Amino acid sequence: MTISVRIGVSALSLVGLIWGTSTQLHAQSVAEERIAPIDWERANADAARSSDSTAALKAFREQNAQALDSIGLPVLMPSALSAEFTPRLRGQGNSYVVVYKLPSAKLSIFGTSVFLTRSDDQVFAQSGAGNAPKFERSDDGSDLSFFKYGASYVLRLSCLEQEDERCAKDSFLGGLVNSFVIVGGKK
Amino acid sequence: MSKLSVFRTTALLFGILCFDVVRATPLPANFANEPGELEPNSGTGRHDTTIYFPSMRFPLEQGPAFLNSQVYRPGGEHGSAGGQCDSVNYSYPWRDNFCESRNWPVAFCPTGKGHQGQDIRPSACRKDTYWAVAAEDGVIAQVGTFSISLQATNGIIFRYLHLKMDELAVQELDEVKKGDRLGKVSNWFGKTTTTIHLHFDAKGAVRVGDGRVVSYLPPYMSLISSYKKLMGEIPSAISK
Repeated sequence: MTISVRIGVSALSLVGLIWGTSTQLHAQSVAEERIAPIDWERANADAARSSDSTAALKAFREQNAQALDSIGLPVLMPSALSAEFTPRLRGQGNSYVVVYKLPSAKLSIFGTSVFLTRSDDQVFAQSGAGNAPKFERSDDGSDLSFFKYGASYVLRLSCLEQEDERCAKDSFLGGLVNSFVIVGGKK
Repeated sequence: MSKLSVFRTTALLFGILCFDVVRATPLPANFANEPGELEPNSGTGRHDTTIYFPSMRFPLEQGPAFLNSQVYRPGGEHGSAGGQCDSVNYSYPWRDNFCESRNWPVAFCPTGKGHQGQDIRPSACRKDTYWAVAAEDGVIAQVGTFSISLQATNGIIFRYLHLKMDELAVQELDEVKKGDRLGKVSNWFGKTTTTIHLHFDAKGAVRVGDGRVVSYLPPYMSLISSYKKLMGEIPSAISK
């Protein structure tokens, strides 16, 4: 076999090797979990300035002090919802959820300081997604999500009637976000 | 033979060997469709090979399970002839349907909108029979009109739609462990019904390059990974 034939065969083999490898399905990567640093200075300043905390929220704070103080991010709750909706809290260290039973609807407020990381992404870059509060409808309700103090928050609303304006439009959830106050969190 | 010839021959043999090994390992037929490869004419999918939830348990208690479209398959609004129980719906290979044509906003979809999760048919076309289970340890964070949301300890929100809502195994704020039963796969869809399937989606905060977003995330690769664990790396018995 001449050298040129050998080189040709080697090159073909190399091309085949690269092709064969690249056509394997699922050249996987795994998203990594990180904990976001929380801007407690800003959170504390906001909490000190806030005069919105209602008697209901103060009572909630007293009843759930131990659980609230174990959550590693600012716990946000709306002052716009009265005590009759009896919020209930469950903390999970770096995450929490508060659930409400509203008339003909369920509301859950999620918070977490955990986030996933992945490499840059062309689709995401073009989507214009970012820090602004984002309202998303779905089959069973709607979500409103945003970042604050380094953590991320999601309000999820499920309505008995899909046409319910509280689920169909962003004004209800947006109004709740505008009334958020900090009721706890471990510094 | 010169040293150069020996090196060339060795490189050639190594290349052929590697090539043969790679080519001789066929893709499991179950997963031959790549992530983002949707049903024809059902929208633009997202080719994303990232496993966002590596520790996730497959959200059905048992296999086999069949991931494919409910809309662009027999029995669906835009599907070919046949009913939802058509055998083609209950056969491999799987088919991604994250980002399938919908008007719901999804930051990670190429068009900025689409189907927010993955549709999963259980082992057979029977409602109220097969259990959906917790994908991660966490808390039942909402029992909605026809959905359950589970907040995992890492903050990811997993959502299960179309379960038999009047016979759930959990209540709001229950703590659950991965694999715990939640409810049975059914066809609940508010005032109407849908096909028998589990819609499974996941939302979380993601840092992407210099940006960040809270979004529904592509679950397809995580479902493949967790299904392989459930089924023991694709035993031939389940391959069709």
